[in-house]
Amino acid sequence: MSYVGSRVRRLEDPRLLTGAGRFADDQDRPGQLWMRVVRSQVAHATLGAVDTSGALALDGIRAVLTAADVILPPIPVRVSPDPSDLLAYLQPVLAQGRVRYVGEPVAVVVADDPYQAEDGADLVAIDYAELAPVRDARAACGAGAPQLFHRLPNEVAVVTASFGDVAAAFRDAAHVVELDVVIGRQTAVPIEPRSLLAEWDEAGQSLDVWGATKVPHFNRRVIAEVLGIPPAQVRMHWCDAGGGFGVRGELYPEDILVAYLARLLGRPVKWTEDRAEHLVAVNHSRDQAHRIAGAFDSSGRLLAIRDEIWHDNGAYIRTHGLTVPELTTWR
Amino acid sequence: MTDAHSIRITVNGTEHELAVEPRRTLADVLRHDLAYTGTHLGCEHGICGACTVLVDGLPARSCLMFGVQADGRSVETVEALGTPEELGPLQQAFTDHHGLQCGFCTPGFLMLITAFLRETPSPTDEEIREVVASNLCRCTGYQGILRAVRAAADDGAGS
Repeated sequence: MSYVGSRVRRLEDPRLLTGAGRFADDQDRPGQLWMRVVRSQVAHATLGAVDTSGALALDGIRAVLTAADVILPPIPVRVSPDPSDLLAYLQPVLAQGRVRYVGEPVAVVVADDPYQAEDGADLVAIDYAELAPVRDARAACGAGAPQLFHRLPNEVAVVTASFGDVAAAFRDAAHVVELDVVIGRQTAVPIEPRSLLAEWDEAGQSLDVWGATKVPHFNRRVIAEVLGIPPAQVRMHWCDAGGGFGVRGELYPEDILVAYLARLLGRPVKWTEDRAEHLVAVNHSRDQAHRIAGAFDSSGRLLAIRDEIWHDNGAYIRTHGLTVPELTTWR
Repeated sequence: MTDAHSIRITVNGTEHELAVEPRRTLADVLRHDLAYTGTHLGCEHGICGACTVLVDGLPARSCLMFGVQADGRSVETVEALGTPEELGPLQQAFTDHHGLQCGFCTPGFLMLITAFLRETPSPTDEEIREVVASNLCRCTGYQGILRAVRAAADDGAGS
């Protein structure tokens, strides 16, 4: 055990120190196109017309697609089991009829270079009929709250856990203290923005993907299902990653889009997130309101805790499903 | 490309002549036109410093410079400092003192500090802290970087 307490040399340092690493955006493929995602500017709206003609008229634009142009399954839940009653709350790859958060992908523009793609994205005109946003999970469960989904309650699920005789402890308590506390929403800002590159091989009916680093097996399975090919025909290439912090590598709409577009267009497709985009595009989590009560005996000893929690899962159930509320109630 | 300008840039001693759009950033020219992918883009608005290169010896955010502004100039990137087989002294100090973790911000730090130590070969700890605060590291933290710069300066990396 000579390594215990000693400083171990990292094998990756020489390449990372000399610019010889391979981060996702470091590879370009011959004939590669660049994707830009057009994102919702509003928190909640019914989508009217999406006019792509301005973008299509620009030089170098190879495709502009909205939900009307593609039939793709929604982003599935990764953590097992995948509860079927969450299906209606999953996020479509491109918004269908309604947008539910700022940053939600509405359209994609694919061009010969990233500057052209960004120009094109600026010219996609979206008609929004704005609806009241849902900003607070507790209020969202109350009567009269704006509803995010047609004929579905905002309260997606109720998770209950308990141990011990809590009711008895509260009944016999000398003191009960009740208070409301909130836990702020959090996300992560790794220094490297996300980036994905997909290349379709028509002869081999296979796909190469660079940049999906955290859960490659799950992402490969979903991409294979979307493309209708065996998982063995999707090769997920390892890359260096500029920090993960939980948000990088989940299956996001962009993972599906680059794969789908690479086959549709017959050319490699790359998407590299910019920083402002990252702040609205990756998962946010852990926004909770707690109404918590403690039962104490006459000497101030804690006998029991009761907690009612409203967990804000954002606009959709994404890949991590109900993991966070389930972990919150874990005994 | 409708409005390309012909430019001539020397990168790490090698001269390159190429046609670029006026709006193309120096970072994109280096990374995607000339394949110097050691220069990284973390924010594209001059905050994080991952894209720092030396232009005529001075540190510059290559995301905030256009490629055409580098016409006729000499650029140094991280690839000039050493190779995986033979690290330069500052690179060696970084690995010795755990000055990197994911390594994405590292090239920017190395270029910034290279220019700093040329200008200030015997810095105080306070001066090192001041300069290192110019760039963002999200995962290692700065203590290892400070120790690495101290060690590199004490070993004469800047002279």
